Amino acid sequence: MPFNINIPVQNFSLGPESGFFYYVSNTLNALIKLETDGTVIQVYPIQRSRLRGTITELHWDGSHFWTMEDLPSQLGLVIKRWRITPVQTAQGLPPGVFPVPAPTDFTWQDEITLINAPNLRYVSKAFCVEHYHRFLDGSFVQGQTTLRLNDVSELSTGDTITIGPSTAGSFTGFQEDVLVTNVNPTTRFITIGSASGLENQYTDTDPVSFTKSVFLFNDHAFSGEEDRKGAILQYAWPSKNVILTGNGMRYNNVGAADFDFTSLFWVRADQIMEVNIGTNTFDVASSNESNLREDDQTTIIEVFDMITDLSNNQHLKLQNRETVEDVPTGNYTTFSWGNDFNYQVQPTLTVVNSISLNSDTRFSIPFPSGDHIQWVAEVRDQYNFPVFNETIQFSAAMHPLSDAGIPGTFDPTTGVTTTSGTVETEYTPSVTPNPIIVEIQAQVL
Amino acid sequence: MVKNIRLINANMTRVDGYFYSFDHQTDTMIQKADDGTLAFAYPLDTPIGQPINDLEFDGQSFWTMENISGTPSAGFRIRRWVIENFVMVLQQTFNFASDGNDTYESSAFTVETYTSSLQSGASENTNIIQVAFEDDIFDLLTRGTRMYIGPSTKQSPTDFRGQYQAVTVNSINEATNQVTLSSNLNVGFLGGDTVVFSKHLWFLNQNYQTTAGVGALYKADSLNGNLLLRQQGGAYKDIDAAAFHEVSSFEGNFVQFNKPYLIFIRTNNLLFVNVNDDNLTTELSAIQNNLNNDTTEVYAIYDLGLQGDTIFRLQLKFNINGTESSENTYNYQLATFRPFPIAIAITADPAILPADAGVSSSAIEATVTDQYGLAFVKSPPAQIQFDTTGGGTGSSLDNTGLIPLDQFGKASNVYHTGITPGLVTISAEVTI
Repeated sequence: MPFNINIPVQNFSLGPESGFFYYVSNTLNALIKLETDGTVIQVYPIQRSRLRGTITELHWDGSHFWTMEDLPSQLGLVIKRWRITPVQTAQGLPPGVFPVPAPTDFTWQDEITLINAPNLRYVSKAFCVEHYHRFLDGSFVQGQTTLRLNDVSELSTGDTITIGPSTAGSFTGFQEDVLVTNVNPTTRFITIGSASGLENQYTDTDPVSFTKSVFLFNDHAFSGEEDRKGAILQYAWPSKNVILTGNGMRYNNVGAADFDFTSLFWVRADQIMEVNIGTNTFDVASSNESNLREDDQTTIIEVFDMITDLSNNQHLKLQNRETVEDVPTGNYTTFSWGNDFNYQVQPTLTVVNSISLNSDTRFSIPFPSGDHIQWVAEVRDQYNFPVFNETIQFSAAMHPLSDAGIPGTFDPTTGVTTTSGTVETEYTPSVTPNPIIVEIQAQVL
Repeated sequence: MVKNIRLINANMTRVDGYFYSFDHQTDTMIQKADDGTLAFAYPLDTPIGQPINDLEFDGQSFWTMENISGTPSAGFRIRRWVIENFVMVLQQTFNFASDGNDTYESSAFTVETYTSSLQSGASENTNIIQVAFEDDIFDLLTRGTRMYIGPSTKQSPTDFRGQYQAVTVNSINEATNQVTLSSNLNVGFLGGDTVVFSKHLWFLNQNYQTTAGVGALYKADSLNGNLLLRQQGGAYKDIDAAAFHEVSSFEGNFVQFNKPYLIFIRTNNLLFVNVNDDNLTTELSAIQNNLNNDTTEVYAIYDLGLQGDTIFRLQLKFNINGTESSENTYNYQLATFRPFPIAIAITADPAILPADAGVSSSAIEATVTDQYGLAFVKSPPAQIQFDTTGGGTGSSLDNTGLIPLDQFGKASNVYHTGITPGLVTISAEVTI
């Protein structure tokens, strides 16, 4: 039974150190850092807050963690922002004295508390954080108030950015938050609001990140009842003001969500859906069938949390069971991890996801009938779009419930899909005195 | 034993080789391949509170029927949906709530839909198209009728391939088969591109007006849901599956049966109603094999998917080639509109003869019929071969070889007596 991180909770995320996963444990009251094989590396105890419900999702925005938990007595829910502290920086230290305090705690920073309101009941298992990652374009020293980034899109005056961790000499690992007071979209220079300038020194390509808003997927809309109509709410950060609301069933019953580049991704039933938040219409930009049925092809597998990693063309879906396909046979098998959770990878690059077989005729009269039956196989990817240039092989076999007989023949037996994702063939039934049942298959070679 | 599409809901329609079904638990329309593999899923933009009883596709829109509440006699609603940006978007809802005039209670409906093609190309920015519908169908294109054209195959000078356009009829010219649209086309099309339109909704109601349990066929306008007709009939009672289909499987003397029908399953017969006949005549009835081996149980058929001459019957119980099985998911069993022989009736006249060594004889006649109860006729003709077992020594048939069936599906032979008495069994086997 394949497993990877094998964690006991239904939340996970990436974090400050690449190559590691993190989760929040209600039992241990801590943030846990672990290797990709599930080995626990470090435990950061929670500080300045108390968990009031099971953590349903965990996100990392480049500088902070975010969690969501239900409030007791069905009061609503709370989204909290956390940071691993103490943050390493040079602030307040004498020149040349740079002690390196070890990060030890998982410390509450802020929160959005959502109490059920007359017009809205908060029931949600998914939220995500609109965050962006940039890099410094050049090296910058302590005291500088003007920086240059590789890209200033989405960045506005008034935003707070996190610079670092630094890779500059004795400042390695240091970071700081600064307020942006001016952005020049042409030169990509920004001015920061600290009179004393940068606290640390940075080198070219050191990371910069900033958070703009939080999206909440709610099961119910704005009737004040549990109407199952679904809603999405966007809260500006750090003001927490609601700046967008929308309703629709697509936002209902969402199990997990994430944000990457400029798109929201969320899991609803079988699909990972995408909206590019830069579009005015907020239309669904893509929908990815994500292998979320057990091998009976009926029971849905729940996704509890998700990491979208577009740079590596994948979504990592946190599940307590997974269905895998044996490619040579096409058979599916579902593995359960019991009370533990592992991630299953769902590719964002297109792969063959389904083949349909289409014919107007499925009955041929026996004996030398002269029948020639046209079949069309259509190949589609996980986005339900046609797949071009796939080689398809047709085959026929006797159905287990059939009387003995000989299957017919195809001409051609293989073909390559067109831009419509289709391949055509002609089936000639065998000469048979009695009715027989034949199974026809199309398979990607 | 019979696991193919493995649906968890008793509704299904088939489009372009895929099977679609609405799931009220997840408020999703799922799309499956023949082997049950999930190909895709579309979230609904509006919740459905009750299980979907029936699902239809009219070439553009998906149509669903669901009860208004947990009480079936409270009525039902029929809804029209289209796929927009990966989401099923509700377009219209027609509520048929029981009132003082009608007790609505139904599990089966269909959309009267006609499919044809453009007779000639239609450029973008024009509002006149020429369509190839038969005259009586063409006459149904009244003002306001919604048509759907596509996919376009036109690629020059502008590439419109794969695009569709919904249009509305303003007027028609029967002499030229021209349709004037209410607005110009945005998409260009070539002759031969597909055109579909829907005209009416038909549902099979348990009750006629408020008279309970007598069965009735109701007709409504597909544009606005307005009720247009009710017809009482016991044949319309206890119906779970219906569809609308242009049958084209008949040949020879029976080509007059090739036409559009409202088709529904009543116990183990498919009934074919000509909706363009004022009397709503049931013109055909086709026996189905949804029976157990003892013929004591009729297996329920929950929905129908029709394509070409193939019928996909959604069932929980199956009898395949004599093997019975029961599933916990809904799967399809195949049937066909194509006539095939299912019965041979043999008569002997006289049936009792003296054992007089060939002095007496009996005229034997076999009649081969298909699933419609019609004579099985094809070209070249099917052949039949007679055989006898038992009987007195020396008994014989005139012709023991293959005998072609005539235009009435019949073949004759003569039995001659032997010299000793005995029970004679005459059998026949048809070769198609």
